[in-house]
Amino acid sequence: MNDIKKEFGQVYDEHIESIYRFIYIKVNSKDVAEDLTSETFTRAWKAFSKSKSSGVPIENMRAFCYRTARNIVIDYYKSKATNSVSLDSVQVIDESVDIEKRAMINSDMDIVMQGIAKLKDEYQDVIIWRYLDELSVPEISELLGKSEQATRVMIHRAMTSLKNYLSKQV
Amino acid sequence: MNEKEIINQIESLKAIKPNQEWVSSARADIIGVDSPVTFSFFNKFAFVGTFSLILLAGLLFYSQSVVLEEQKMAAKEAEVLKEEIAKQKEIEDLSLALAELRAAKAELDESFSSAVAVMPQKEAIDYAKSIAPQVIEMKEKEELIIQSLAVVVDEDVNEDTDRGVAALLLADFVDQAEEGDEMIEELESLFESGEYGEVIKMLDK
Repeated sequence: MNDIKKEFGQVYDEHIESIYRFIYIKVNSKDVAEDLTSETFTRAWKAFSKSKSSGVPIENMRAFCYRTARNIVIDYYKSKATNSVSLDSVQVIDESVDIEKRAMINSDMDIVMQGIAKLKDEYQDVIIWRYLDELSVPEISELLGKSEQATRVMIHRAMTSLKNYLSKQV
Repeated sequence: MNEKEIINQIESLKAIKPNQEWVSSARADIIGVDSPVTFSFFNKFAFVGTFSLILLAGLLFYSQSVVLEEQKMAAKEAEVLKEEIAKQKEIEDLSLALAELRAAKAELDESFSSAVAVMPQKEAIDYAKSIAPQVIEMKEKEELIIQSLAVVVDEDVNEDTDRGVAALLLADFVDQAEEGDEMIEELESLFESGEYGEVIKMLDK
């Protein structure tokens, strides 16, 4: 059991930041992001230990965590039946950065976060995976269950949509 | 706003990080608390011993630090100089790599244009498909080098191969796609705006 815990501990340490960020961008609230991230890793831990005991390991834990996080966010919005954007990103930036710089970063972050929030769910996902988590096109296509070509097209369309939104903000 | 600026803005979101205390407590809640460290008499004894050694080492270090200060300053200056030389060398290397890459690209342009000129359409499409990954790789390398140089570099205006490969891949795609496929319109618009690399990337299988 300790070995399994240790192994899952590594999965947790490796992906906690990216999964938290993935959720945070979608829900725009620190408290909600923390709750949903905990829920994601609780489910992942249960599935992980179950898979170990059954001898059928989960091949790609990162993909598993992202899929779980996506479903949890969808469930969250279904239960809330609302998509309010209340930006509290100020709190998430490293406090050692000076105030002026933080204000600038926050302003950029707010605009781009609002832009991403306006996109379709699938577009949000591909932008986060491609440009924030720096996943490759084959990795994203695996997560989406689509061909690489379709994934490239989707990334391109997502970027075009975001570009259109941001151009209107300038 | 161009794509690079948008990507930079997206990358600013990397600053979103969870609170570290929450990360640790959630970890403990989910996986279970790590076994606490016991602090027995022997631990205390070992701690006092270790602390005394560290204190002694600290005192010795402090007594030597004044003498070492000047040596450190000199070493620091040498380090700065060394970094500057290394930076200069890196710029030279990158400039050389860029020149080499562009020479290879020019060579590819020449062989591509002379080859497709005499090939039937089907054969030319196959040839374009076979070199598409190479064209993408060259384009990405070039962008990477220019980015690393962090200076304004003259754009390589020679895009014959990119244009030719994109045109052939697009023609092939249009032949095989169903009528009304909205991707055709998108690809054609990219092609018309000169985004040949983007067309090749989207059609490279």
